[in-house]
Amino acid sequence: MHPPTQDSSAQAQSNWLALLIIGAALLAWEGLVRWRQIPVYILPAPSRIGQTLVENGGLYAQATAVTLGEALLGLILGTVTGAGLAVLLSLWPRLERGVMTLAILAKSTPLVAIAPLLTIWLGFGVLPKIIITALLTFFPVLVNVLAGLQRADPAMLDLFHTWHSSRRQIFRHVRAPSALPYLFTALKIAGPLALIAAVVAEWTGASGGLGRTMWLAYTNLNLPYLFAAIFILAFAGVVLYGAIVWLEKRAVFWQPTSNL
Amino acid sequence: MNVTIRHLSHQFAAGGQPLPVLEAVDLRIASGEFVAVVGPSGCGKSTLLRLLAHLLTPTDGTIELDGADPATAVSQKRIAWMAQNPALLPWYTTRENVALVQRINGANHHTPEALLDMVGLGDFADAYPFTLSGGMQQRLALARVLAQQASLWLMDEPFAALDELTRERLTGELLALWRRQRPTVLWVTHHIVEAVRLADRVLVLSPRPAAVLADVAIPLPRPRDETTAVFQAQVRDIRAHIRQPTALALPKGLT
Amino acid sequence: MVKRFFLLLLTVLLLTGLGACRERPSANVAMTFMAGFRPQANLPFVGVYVAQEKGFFAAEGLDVTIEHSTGGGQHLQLLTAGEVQVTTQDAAVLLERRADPGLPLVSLALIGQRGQQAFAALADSGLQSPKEWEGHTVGFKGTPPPDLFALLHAVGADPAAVELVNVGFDPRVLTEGQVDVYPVFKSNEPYLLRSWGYDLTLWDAGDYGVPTLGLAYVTSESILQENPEMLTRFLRAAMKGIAYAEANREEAVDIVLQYAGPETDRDHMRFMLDAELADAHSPVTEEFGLGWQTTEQWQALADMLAAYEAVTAVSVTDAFTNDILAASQE
Repeated sequence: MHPPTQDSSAQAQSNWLALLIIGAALLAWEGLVRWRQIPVYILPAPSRIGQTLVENGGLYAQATAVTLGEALLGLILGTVTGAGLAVLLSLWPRLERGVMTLAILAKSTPLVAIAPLLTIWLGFGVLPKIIITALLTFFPVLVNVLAGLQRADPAMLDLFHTWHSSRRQIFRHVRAPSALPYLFTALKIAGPLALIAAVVAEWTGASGGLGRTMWLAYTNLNLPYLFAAIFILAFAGVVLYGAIVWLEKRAVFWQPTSNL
Repeated sequence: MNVTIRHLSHQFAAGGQPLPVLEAVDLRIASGEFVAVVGPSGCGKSTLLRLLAHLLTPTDGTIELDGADPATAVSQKRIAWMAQNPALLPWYTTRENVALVQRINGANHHTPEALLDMVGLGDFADAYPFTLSGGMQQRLALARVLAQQASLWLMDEPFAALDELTRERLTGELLALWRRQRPTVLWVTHHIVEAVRLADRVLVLSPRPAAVLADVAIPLPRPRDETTAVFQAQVRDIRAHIRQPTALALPKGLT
Repeated sequence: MVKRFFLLLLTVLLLTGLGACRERPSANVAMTFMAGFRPQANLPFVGVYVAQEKGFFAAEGLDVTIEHSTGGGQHLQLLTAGEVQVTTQDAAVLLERRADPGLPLVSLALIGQRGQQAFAALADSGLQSPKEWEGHTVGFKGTPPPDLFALLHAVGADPAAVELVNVGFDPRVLTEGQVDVYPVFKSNEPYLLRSWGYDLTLWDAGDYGVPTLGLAYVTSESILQENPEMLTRFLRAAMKGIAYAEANREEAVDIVLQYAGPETDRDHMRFMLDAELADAHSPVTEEFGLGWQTTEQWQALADMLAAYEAVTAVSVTDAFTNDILAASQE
């Protein structure tokens, strides 16, 4: 049923190749640290980082769960908000300039200004982190989904007009499905962004999570712990991105999608 | 549905400069007539169809569809539109594409499966449009047209992107389906032979801004054989009109 | 019929819930303490950690939530907004913030009778006296601290001959040679640097007659006015925590590590605790107890800050109070 992209053996090949490249990079890093005798507080070796990860598995698992939870909830909130606003603007185009200006303002306000306000209103828990993540992720979703809604195929729109369709029918059968590929493009950006946002939000004050671990590690100049957290973040980002691509293949089944 | 067009003109505002596309077209089409419209590219054939479908509002002149304006005809869902881009909804199956039209139009004379059978897509009800060939996609578009039970079919070169053999077969099938409902048909095409094969009348339009150069009746019984002398005479006749526009309507800028 | 039953059940549940809620308030007063930086063995933090773990807060009828600031001034913002009731702050910064932007901060107890600010150079550099800083680079974090200029003045060095570089928190700039002199907290960075294998030369501004004061427990004027009872109980428990920590240092470090996590080096925390305990004692505290503060101490600091233009002249009388401490000692 699906339009053919890469056959499965080519895909397996590219996966192996990716692992090979990453492995080679790690080996080079390890070699560099040992050869140049770089102190651990400047750049730790991957072996040391791996050791730290293994020894503190429970700690990192818990921290990852917290941050991942904040990121996912924030992403969902941001996506719903962005998509919702896009629908609003496609139905009432006159609102576009005003709403977009506010959106750009919200997106551009630096975190250090917003975070304490959110802490004052919402406390020290995960809620401010979720809000901050949503603030950072809603914009790409808004922009992309709006574009998708507005760029419905004119030939389809012509047809629906000759059928004397209502605006709601056009929205449901033409505009909304047209916007779906655009939504996933936005999610490919917003997904990894949500992880970063959750971590940065934690830097402004948190009781748990990878961001907090990174902050504690850095202020102790304990770089193995810091890099271990970074490795996990990178890995989580890859997994999240992969999940989004997987979802996209299923949701936007009528279009060939890339495998990366 | 009978069509009456009086002094129809249309111009586009193309970057400040008005671009006249149709020039004082007068036309009468009786109910159930199959009318082909031929003319050079860009002359305004599509614009004429879009005006009839109420996708555009004319800058001058009137259109009457069964005595009412196009807006009314559309609101009564009596107009079927089929273009070169079939505009199938890729996120619905073949069956769902047809069922959707029926739902929007409220026409339930046939089941979606029966309509698909009529166009030869009975085995592909659960397939998605992107798996269909060009010819099959246009069949699906045709099934949608049939589903509407419309009294006016506006068809803008729907088979132009297909190869010759497929086109021949599909136009034959179209004729058969047309005979069942007998709507009025306006069929835009580049191919004079095809026009003579299908239509009761062939309208020849001038280059832009389009005016009606000739209105040639094709009284031959169907099915028509291209190899006969009568057929070829009609084709020559129409070609002659295109090469030498008569005084019926002199297009602007051509002397 | 079923609907009515559920409605009744819901009402009963609500009433019992409300009843249960009503019983709580008189038992424990809830408050939030925010440490001014990450969890570590700064003495005021330690007092609070110990008080929490050993039940001193509970014994005072306090339900204390412990939070940590990320060091951006967030804790002062939250204090003035009333989200946090007690925080910690360096004495000099307290005076600066009272002057500009005019935050209504009040010190309840001066835990650090001497400041921890010092300057370090690698022993290999051969620098012996701050006078020799002339012609070298000296780092600072954020803004050049007034005690730096006071120190240079005290040794007769020319500030213009010293190249000042904004470095932020990263002692590696010293080991990698990007600066010759680096600002440290005696209880913190020297430990790290030594653990990396470097010998240091340290200069404490206090040794050159420059007045420095350390960390204090801080509240806002409005909380002080509205809730002296709560503050008294808090301080009593926290000071008890500090006393306990002094007598049971290893155990105190264990408690700190519960808050600081495995990223933190145990020996580092012990070093920090010892260093800060040493500076918690002074002739003032010998007479009046840990945390006592005098007008002379505060005025000396304020004068130094004013002399080096860190603040406009500010009155110190409203900047601190011994009332709560005195009440807690009864």
